[in-house]
Amino acid sequence: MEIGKVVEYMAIFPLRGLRLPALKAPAAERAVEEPDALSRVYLPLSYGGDTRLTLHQYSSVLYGQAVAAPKDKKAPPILSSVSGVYTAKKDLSHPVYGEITCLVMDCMDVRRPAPAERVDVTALSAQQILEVAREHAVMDELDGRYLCDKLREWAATGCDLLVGDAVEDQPYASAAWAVLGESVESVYEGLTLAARACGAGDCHLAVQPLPADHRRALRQRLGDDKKLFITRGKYPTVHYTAAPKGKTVCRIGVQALLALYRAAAFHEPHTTCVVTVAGDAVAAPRNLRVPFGTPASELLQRCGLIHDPTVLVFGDMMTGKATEDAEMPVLPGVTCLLALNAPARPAADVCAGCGRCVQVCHAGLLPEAIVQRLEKGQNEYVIALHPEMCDNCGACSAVCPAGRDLAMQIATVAKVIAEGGGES
Amino acid sequence: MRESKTNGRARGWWQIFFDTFLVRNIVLVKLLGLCPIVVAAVNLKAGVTLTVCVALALLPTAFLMSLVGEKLKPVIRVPLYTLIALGILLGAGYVLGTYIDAELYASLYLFLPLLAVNSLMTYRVGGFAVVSRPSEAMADALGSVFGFGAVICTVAAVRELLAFGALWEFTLLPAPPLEAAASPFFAFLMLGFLAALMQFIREMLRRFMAGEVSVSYE
Amino acid sequence: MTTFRTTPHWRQTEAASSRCWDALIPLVPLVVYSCVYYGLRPLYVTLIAVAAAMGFEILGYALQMKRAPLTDGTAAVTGGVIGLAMSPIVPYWVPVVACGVAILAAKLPFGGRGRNLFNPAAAGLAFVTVCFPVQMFTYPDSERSIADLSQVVTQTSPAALMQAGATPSYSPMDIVLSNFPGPIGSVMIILVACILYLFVRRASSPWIVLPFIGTCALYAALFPRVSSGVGASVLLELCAGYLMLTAVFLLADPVTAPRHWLARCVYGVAAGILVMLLRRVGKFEEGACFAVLLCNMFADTLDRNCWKLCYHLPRWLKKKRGGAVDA
Repeated sequence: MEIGKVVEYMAIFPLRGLRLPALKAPAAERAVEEPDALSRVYLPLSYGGDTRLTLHQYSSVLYGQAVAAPKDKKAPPILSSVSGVYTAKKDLSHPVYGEITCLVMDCMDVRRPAPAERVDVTALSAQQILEVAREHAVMDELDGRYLCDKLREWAATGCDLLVGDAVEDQPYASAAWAVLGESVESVYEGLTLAARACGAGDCHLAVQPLPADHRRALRQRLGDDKKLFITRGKYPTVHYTAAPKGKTVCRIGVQALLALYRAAAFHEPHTTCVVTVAGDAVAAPRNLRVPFGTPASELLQRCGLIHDPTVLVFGDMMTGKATEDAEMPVLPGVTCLLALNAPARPAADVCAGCGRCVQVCHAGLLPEAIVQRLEKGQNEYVIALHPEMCDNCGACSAVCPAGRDLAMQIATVAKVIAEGGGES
Repeated sequence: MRESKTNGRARGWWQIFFDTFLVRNIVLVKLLGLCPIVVAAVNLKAGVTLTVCVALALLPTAFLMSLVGEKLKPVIRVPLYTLIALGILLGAGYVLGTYIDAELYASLYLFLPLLAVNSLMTYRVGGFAVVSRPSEAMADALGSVFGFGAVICTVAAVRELLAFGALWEFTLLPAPPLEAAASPFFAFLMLGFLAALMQFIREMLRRFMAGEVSVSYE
Repeated sequence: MTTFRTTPHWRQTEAASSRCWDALIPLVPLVVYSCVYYGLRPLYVTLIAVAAAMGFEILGYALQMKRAPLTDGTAAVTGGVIGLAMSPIVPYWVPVVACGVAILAAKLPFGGRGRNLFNPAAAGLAFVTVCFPVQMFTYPDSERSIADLSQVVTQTSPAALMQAGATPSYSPMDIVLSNFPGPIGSVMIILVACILYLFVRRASSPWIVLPFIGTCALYAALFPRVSSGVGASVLLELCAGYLMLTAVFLLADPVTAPRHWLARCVYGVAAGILVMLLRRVGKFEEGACFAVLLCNMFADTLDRNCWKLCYHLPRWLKKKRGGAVDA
């Protein structure tokens, strides 16, 4: 056991963050696969803004065709991710997006057309790049927002450093790793485009400590050491650059960067995402490139199940949302689908005061104190403890020996404060 | 905190008495007048004497102050009722020491005048009686006296029994079981448990008489 | 690793009660070591204390019509610590009374495990210290076994000697091996091993224990009560009475201690100063339990304020230097 681990185990110093198992092995080593047939996909009518349906029922749709137009002309359209027939409308309660209305598309063809001729992207201006991102509906998989919105915001507020975020610090997740392995050059091209669009001074890709040969290969392909930053530390990753002080760091997921580059160079709409399908109930974990809206059951079928999972997690191990409905579609913002054979959590115990939640909190909060005051109803004290600084990484809940849901309660109160300005 | 004149609705004197005596007990819920209980009430005799002295000082001052009301400024009012109470208590102390029990007076002579500036006195007289009608003030003062008396006599009796093995100076036990019961910490412990018991009673009251008695957790 | 159906799906699993059993394990060698000196009586005292604590726990929960959660081990630890702080020749009813106060007055009225404001064992010890100081602080000669209580040779403990202004004349070896009149559990070398064991098992925090011992040692070095030098003063002060026992089991009890590292540090230092002051000016030869109770009271306040300091100071400095402050 190395000294650092001993010190950490004995909890001598207020080490922030949590050491998680990687568990990436089988999926990360296999090449990305694309399913050649799907029975149906669920296309959401909107990702937040007001949209208007542009087709009639039982009309056929081509790949990349707009199925819904936004009322706001500056917002991106909803593009079809497959060629097929729109057969029905369905209301879903999605674990990530909440209540959404989806179009059920019967797939005729999931293959994408061959890419158009490559366009030179070096001459594109910032405005043109934003327009490309909007037209092709590029979405950031980190938070499921449109890339053009994010870039526009950053252009307004200023951004010193743009980071292509391939840090997958949670167990199982290896989609970004797979994307980098496939096309790291294109991703970096996309990053330079995005940096130009938001006026960032500097940009690099950030990855977790990969095996040495992977790292060497990536560096070789990129050609310059500065383009790749290896993050250190534990979950959650907070340092995306070697010199974090005083810099505004903005992050974009690598899949979005790839999509941005392909949109600019090949006029390809952003309609697919790479999803890691893993978990202890999955027979052959792997990364799959699937059209947006593919139901989880199709992915699981493709990878095979050892036994019926008790729960499906959309998203990562620590922050993902659970559902039991296998029909839920994979939408942008989901890069990981876990099928777990997990037991129901035992009832929470009383706090024994071990202080581990305080130790792991990377935001430097007192999670236990916040929850204790919430339970006592001392709301004014809760506000003084700054629960709004919580980014809901879930580390406090994960380490709590009493099994209390600290992160969930803090996230709830943080939401209330963010919405109501702290009156309630 | 000041209680409004009607406290939401008009209350009969019986309700006020009941409120101060039990529901919002002066000692166990509002934690007033702890000093004499903790320090001086080591035997039942002292407890009863202190209760009587509180009654002697509180009832007339409360009556007087409810008559005077808010006509006088606080800067005159506060010294006035303190001085009246002090005068009564000094007189009571003199009577006690000369005619009744010199030994008891010797053990209490410091605490009797101090009752005049006790939080119990200032809170009930200066806070409640001043803004109330004479009948209400008297009911409240009586409730205070009985509430205070019940607690101080209980504490004093238990302490005397444990520390001296006696009750009202009649030896009941062959040897005192716990001599440290005469020290203040024991009174604090007892007050803690009595306060917990009080909360239990209040909870029972709240459940059984919901809507009939106004129990407010201040 | 265990996965669960609710977010986060990955959780470290370790029952909170396991750390209490962890605290119980180090009690065993202490009792065994004491039995080497005094015969089996220390074992009986400790067992009776443990049984009494568990019995009172059952009684207390029975009054509330509940089943006592004995398996969490907190009552057993409370009883064990009370037993270890007793003299080997203490009458059996003293630890029973202490356990009664600990469980029925300091633990259950506050809501039981995890909710108690004061450390139950410290409260029980404080009660018997105030009420029965003679029984608490009469120690037998450590050279002889105490098979027959009527013929026990009592001796003044080094803590009492130091309180009286005298200098105990024990060799450092005797002190470290606890070859002097004192409580059952005041065996320096085993206690040090206990501290290390509990650190490794993460059942107690070094942020409390080390500042506490450090402060006591520093105080003993700066203001020695004995005339035989600074080193002897430090050694005697740390080994006499149940100071180390306090450090390991009473002060570092996580339920009543602060959670934040700085607050824990301040808590340890404050308790150290209080213990030494209580020894110097207090009425009893050992006042560690009072120091613990006093510090317990401020645990929450310390937590909040130290956190505020740690949270706001870097932001304030950043602002002062003219940098932008995030959120």
